[in-house]
Amino acid sequence: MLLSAIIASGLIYTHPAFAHNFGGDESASWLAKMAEIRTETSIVAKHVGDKDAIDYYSDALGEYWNANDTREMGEKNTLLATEIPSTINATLDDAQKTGNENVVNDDISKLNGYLDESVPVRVDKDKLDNSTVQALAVVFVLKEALEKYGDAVNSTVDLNDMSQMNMSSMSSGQMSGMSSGMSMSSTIVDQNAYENSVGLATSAQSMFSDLTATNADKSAANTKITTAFTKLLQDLNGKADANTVMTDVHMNIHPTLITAYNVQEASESDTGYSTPAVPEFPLPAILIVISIAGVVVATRFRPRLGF
Amino acid sequence: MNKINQVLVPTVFSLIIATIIFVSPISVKPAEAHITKVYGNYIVQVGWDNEPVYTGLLNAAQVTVKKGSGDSAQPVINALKNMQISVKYGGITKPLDFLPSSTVDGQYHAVLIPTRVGTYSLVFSGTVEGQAINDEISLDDVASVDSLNFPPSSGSSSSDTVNMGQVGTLITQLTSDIEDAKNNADAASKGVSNVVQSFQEVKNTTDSLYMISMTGIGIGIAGIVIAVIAITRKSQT
Repeated sequence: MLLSAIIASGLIYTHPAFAHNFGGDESASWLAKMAEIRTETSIVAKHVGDKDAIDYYSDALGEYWNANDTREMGEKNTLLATEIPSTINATLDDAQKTGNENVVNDDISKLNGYLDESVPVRVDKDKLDNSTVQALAVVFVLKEALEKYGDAVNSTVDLNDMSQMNMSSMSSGQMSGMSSGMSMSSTIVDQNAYENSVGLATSAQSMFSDLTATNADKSAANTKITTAFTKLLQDLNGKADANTVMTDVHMNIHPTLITAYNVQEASESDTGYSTPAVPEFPLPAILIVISIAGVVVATRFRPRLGF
Repeated sequence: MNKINQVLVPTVFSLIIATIIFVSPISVKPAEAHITKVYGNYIVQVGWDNEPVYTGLLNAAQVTVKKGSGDSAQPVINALKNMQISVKYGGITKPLDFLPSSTVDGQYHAVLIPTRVGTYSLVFSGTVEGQAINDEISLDDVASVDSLNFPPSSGSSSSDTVNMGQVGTLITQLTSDIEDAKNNADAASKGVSNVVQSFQEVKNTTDSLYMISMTGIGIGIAGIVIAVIAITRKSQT
């Protein structure tokens, strides 16, 4: 009986994850990608000659611009397909080898020009002017910021998975979007990832600021999200614990952004990002341990339990 | 006097002929293909992608922006970031969306089909890297496509009727083809949707089986532990 109860409780525990998953709109992805590359290269400019940092950002840039992006851009504009990756590489090379900040800044200026040029080539005009697409791009950049912050604090939970938030530790102030001023600070184990997460969050804040300029009719929501962004940046700068940062994004930014800008939440198959309904390791292992413990307890205290 | 005339007249005549020969190529030369203008330290060149230009044929307005002077001028990347450009014909204007060239840095194209013969111009309003440019620059004149047509498309009403009939047939055929393509696309979309649904069902089943197998393993291990305890107790007693 006891064993059955334990197993049943385990089965009940495996409820599907509850999270905000957003549709993978290609235009928004491209806008986000451009903002991410700009952010990474702007941080590279601060680390000219710092091999470790440049190696880190080389990996990050390799993630944001890969062979697939070159191929897709090549279908639209062969010059940009060649120049964007080669200018990224030139920026990294100059940052590492020449150590000359002026040369790196020239590279970045040129790269930013190409990135700007790529936007109307890759994104249709109607999508470019669409506030939902722009809001979705903000969400994508925020997602990257959370991922990097998770790496920075070596978090055991996926910060983009809302189901892994510790809801019980949230104060009512946090739930309502107000600053509680009380959050645990985290130890940064990866300074580059930390700096990257702050840079990306700042970029998302800037993108949202641009969005508000053309959406004055959503002033109430804009004010709320702007306040939430300010708190997020405060918490990131204050090295707040992962749960506080997750709360800032999942509870204070996303819901308002979704309703105000009609951002569509999508299924796992649309996003390519999945929150597994069945956790891969911890639960089965815990289930087995609990089962054994249950049997041991049951057999050892059988007389006292009355069976 | 006669002698003078005998020399002078042919000389003047020769000069007139020579002038006509040398000047005429200049006078009949079409309007300069690409116009270059300088604004501060920036050179702006405008023109058509394909010249000469004819009505009804796909073309594009072309703008190239460079910084500096002479051969050392460097292309300006993302030059039109803060620039609005419209095409103007008579009193009509239309804003153009320029896209970067696939081959030349600092060059931009806006696709356009000129529909009327005459002079078109580009109206610039904005800045290039802080340099204000508010100007109107004329493009090469557009000629009628009729000068290329053979045999002439206008004149015989019977030939027009034949042509219209052919166009009508073509349109009907195209409509039919588009409809077929649409049906095929719908069918493919439905097929993909079914596959996704099937895949999701398989995934759900797999998840359930995974859970059941893990539970089975748990029970199995628990059984082993019970057996070990039982054997241990038995050996103790």
